[in-house]
Amino acid sequence: MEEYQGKLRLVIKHYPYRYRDYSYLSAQAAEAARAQGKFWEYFDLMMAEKKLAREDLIGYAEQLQLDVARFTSELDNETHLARVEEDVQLARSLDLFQTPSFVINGRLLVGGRPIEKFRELIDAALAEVAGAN
Amino acid sequence: MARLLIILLFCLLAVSAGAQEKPPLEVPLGDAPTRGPADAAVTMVEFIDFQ
Repeated sequence: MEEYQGKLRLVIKHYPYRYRDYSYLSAQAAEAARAQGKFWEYFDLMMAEKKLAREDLIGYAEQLQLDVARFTSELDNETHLARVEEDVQLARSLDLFQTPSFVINGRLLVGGRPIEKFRELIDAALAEVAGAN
Repeated sequence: MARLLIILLFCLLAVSAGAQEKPPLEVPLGDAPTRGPADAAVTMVEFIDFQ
């Protein structure tokens, strides 16, 4: 991300897998953090810590000094479930079936791939844009 | 005649190669969280499962 500073924009769409314990929960937690303006802080913390049980997710909210009562209530009441489902519908409509899936300027890259593959696609996209100008 | 056939074959191959090139996937960004400049040359959409 830093490597391409100013040239790259990352966009997150949720695609939780229905039959994993914490997929939907963690997606909703990220949305609950976003409701308090701290999506990326929460995202980074969750990625670093990797634990995703309900109490872990609430712990991250505490660490980031979110309004924990509000966060917990939104999590427990599935306030952001519909928002997460919207993304899932989008992913399905694009015929994506795996996570992570990446779309880099319209080009699809499926699965965890070595960083070189990303560089290749990002560089190709940059070259394409440069060529078009 | 043979030459004509070869030319035809080349044309067919070129057309089928073109057809295999997939059109770019259009992903509506909507209100999705983004990081990085809005006018970045490259947009990478990640469909993510945190678990």
